[in-house]
Amino acid sequence: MKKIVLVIALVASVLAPSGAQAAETKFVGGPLTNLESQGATINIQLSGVPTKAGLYIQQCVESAAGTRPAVCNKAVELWISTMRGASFAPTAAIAFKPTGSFVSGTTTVDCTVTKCGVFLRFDHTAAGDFSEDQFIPLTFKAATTGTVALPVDEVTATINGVAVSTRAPASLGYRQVATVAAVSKAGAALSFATLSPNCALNGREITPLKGSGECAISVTSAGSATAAAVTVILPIRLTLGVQSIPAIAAKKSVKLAGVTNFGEKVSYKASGSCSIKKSVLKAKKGKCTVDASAKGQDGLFGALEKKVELRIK
Amino acid sequence: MKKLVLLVSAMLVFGVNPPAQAATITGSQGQALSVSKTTAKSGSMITVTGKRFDETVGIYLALCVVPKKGQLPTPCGGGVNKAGLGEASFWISSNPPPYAIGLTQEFLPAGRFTQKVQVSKKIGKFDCTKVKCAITVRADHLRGADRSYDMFIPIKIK
Repeated sequence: MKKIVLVIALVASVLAPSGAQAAETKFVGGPLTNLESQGATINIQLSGVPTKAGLYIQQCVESAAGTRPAVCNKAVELWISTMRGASFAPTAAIAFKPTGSFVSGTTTVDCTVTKCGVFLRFDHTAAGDFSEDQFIPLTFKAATTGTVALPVDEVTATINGVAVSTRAPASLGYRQVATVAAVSKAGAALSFATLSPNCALNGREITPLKGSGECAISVTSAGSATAAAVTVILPIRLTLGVQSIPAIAAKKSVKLAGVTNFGEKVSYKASGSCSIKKSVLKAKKGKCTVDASAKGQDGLFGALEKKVELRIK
Repeated sequence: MKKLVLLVSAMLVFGVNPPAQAATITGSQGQALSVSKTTAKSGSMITVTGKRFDETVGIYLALCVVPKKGQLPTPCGGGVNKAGLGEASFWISSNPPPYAIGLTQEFLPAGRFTQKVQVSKKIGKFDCTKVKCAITVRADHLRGADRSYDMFIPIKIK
């Protein structure tokens, strides 16, 4: 008899996840009740996932209606996206592994006492959009004594020496090569990955390949004996690149650069004590003004407009 | 060799039956693809340059048999190099997957590249003197099904 009740409860919970609001994503998954404290797997199949952004699947403590849960289990978070670096694609068979207890910051949560659940939300690419927020409650078996969840490792990261976090994105120009660095509090091994083709990552070196939009770098701590594994995401806002040409020496004859640092053709105009012939600046004693200009490229870099004043002795 | 190049360029300048003509085409995203000549001897090199390509999308560059419209360009490359890398075909990407780092050429700023592509008469069992072949650009296998990046400049092989 008990078995039948359980099966019914399971079927009911699979078919009609409570708490689902007007979100477009349809969540089908189970089991959701009487889960093992350690080693439980919920098999999830999503459908109708909006294409505008990815999703996070988190294990969180239920929050007041209309608010996002603040206490979540970082260690089991999944990123559902078609982007490189995601845990699963939206159409994949998703394996989600919540735990009966977890540590969030300094709070230890026991999901046999506190109401925990699966929390679905848009990912960092649609950070302000709460329309896909869904909370699906979970229940756990009482934990066997002696199993205590590890606190999640803390990773602090910088880009070009400036601290970066989800709340404080970095800002880089097109082709402005930058270096990412990170420290694990637990001393765990760290790995780096780029989450968007807009930024190339070679070792720790980031090269933005766009001058607008955004990209993100992920830093993953492998975890240690004292800390659980975690991935932090470093968002980067991309800005137009700055075109430049080499400095022009104040000499009587100078070969001028034909192209900018981005390969655009440079046009020069000379006035005062100098003139330009076949991209060589010929100057006499006195004041010489050179105007350099080059076209910009939409979404990558701005135009070059540079006035150089030279005093020729 | 240098003399020959000089001679060819001199012939071009004087317009004495130019043996080959440069050509440029523009792709759907505004990117430009140019070849140094559209008629080439089997085994010779064609200089291919690109401009304003999207640096976030890796591409393959090779001589391919022109496919039916909307079909994946195949076969490509040349009989000499079946591995697909080398002088007959190039993989240009600024952001290759980890396993391909070192196999790819990077885009220069502003989505530029210049490569010398060796063309050959035979592509697999196809003969480019009989079927239409072209210097071809397509998105790499990470976007293998995306035909919007395909560009073709037909080449006459002698």
